[in-house]
Amino acid sequence: MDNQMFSVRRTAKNPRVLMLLVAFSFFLLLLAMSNTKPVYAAGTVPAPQRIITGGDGGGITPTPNTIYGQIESLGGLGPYPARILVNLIQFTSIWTIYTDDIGCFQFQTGAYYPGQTSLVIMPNIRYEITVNGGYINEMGGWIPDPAWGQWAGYVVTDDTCWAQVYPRLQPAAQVNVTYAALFSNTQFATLQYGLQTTSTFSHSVSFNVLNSGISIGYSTSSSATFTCWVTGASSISVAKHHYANAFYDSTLTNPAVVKAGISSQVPFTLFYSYPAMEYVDPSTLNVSYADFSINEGSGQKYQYSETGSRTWGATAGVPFGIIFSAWSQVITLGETVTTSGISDVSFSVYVPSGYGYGFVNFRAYSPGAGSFNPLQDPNKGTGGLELHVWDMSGKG
Amino acid sequence: MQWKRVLLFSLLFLILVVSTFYYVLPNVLFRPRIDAVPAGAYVVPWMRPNPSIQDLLRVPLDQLPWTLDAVMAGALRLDVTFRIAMPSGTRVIPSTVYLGHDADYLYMGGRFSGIGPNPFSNPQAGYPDYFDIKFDVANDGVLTFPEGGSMMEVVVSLPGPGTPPHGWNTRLFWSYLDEVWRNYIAAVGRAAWDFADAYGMTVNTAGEMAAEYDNSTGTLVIISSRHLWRAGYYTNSFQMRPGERWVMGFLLELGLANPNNGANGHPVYGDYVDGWPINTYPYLSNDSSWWPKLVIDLTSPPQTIPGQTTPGTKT
Repeated sequence: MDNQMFSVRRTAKNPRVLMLLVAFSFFLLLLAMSNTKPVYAAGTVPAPQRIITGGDGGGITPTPNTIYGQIESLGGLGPYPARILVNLIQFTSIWTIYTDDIGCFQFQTGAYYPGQTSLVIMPNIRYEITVNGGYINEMGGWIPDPAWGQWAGYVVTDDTCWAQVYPRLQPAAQVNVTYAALFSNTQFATLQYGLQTTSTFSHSVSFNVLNSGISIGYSTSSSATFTCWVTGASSISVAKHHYANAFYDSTLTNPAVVKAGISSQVPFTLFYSYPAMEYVDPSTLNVSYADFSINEGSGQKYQYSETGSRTWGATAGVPFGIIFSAWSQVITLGETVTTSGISDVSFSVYVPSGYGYGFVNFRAYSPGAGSFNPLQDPNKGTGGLELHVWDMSGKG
Repeated sequence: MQWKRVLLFSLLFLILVVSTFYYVLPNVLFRPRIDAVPAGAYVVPWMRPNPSIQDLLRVPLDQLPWTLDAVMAGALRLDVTFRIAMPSGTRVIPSTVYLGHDADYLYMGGRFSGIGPNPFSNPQAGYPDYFDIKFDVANDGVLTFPEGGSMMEVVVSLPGPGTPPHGWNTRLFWSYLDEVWRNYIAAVGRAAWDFADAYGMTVNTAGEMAAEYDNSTGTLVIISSRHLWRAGYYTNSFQMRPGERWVMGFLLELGLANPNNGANGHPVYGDYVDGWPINTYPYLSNDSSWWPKLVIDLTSPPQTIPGQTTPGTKT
């Protein structure tokens, strides 16, 4: 070792050797300033290079020891989802950062990541990248930003420890999760329909995926405790906006959506209503229903207990399925509404005077669990959150 | 003599225990809150709607409607002109807000002339107009979890088959929503008002609610009740006991819900709203020191409560 150091000192004192070193350094400098592009590993550069705002306008200049990326939105208002979580995963280590305001991110060797170890990017290594989640096996469960979907893929570094990746992310769909529905064909009778809290209870809506190959993920249920009234001759459903999310796994041999579901209510949304089409024929009912007559100028209030579960969804042939698209794939969710505890549902039928109709015959039906017999108050029957009332006289 | 001493001691001990349970605990640990009434405070009078809200629900909507002046006679009246700014212009909404109470309920009413249907409503979906009262329950000028609030939303169906374009709208949906002030909401990264059920709370203060809407004039009328206190429900801080007198800060809001709230890059707070005494939407500060004061006094129940003489079948 001493001989080597002595030798280097002597070499440095030699003017010719020194000139050669300077010339070689100058050559390296020229080489670096040229437009030579690094050789990327196959399959890691599928997208054209993007211009980075604030850069030199010539596109990305590959920086060794860096994994660069930019998230592309598959829809929504902007081309990029801003400020979204990106993870770089190698074995059991995970480095987490947020994108900038135009969806760009980069991981660099030696960079400090809060709460994590310093990152060293190695050459020719396949790293996992996940967007809006954590480890791949956690994707489709908890989701940091419910307004967006989740994505997972690979990125492979080259000999200079450089790589780039462009995840394509799907915004969450906003879908209607139905909590109650009323169907009525009575134009003249006034109908009130109330869900009133008489004790502690909640309505829980659980979901399942009807597509084969996609499993249910995220929150598998959503609950609401509410008091609402629906009135008038109408057929409407009462709903709240929820985020429908999906996880696209591009690490698979055949990349696809592998999980889907409802993550949460859209913040600060109120209940709203949307028209529902009657799908039950009252003349062909073969389950329990209630017939009653109301004389013109009078009315009656009926009550029943609402408990148990009821499946809503496309498979049941009712118009409450949740359908949305993610990564060009149409996904259909089914809903099952379950009430824990007991609540009272009441409806009233009043026939205004002045029409000359005399008695009007009505039929009511609720496809909930148990027998539906609201006429026997206080020994009420049971029903669901879906109520049908028909004027069977054809008078209104 | 020994047994007499024991008996005497036991008697004194018993008196001490009983007085502790029946006097000391209720008056020290559960001391009734009796606030001093500041000058300029709005005092909510004792009254009951007449007819009751339950009875109003029985009135056919295409019959002659009920008038809030009569139903809420004797209530505190606040005449407010809301101005809701929208891209299509400003909706000027002359309004009257009514507040009254009995021993069990706070009654809230409002007539909003010209509010019109929600501009986002269409044949595929109806979105609500809403009236909102927020309370600084502790009246300390600082909002802290879980201050209470009441929101009454009404979806006015657009005129269509079965609904005459003029006259009283016969296709309405309405709902009562309980509110809490949360010190941190992840969705917005800060403190804000939130719905109790969105926080996982039971909607515990809902009483009855009725609404009517005049298609001809775009007038919305709302009446609602909220429990002053419900045994077993303590999630909301608005839990007022008999014999108490509370002074609370309060704020009114009238709004039109935006269904694009938080959707694909839209701001989470995107409703069209005006407030009273001033518009502060979205209310993100916890400073409520400037709010007007509202007084509910349960210390001296009157012999006869104006309005409905029997509570009837109110829930």
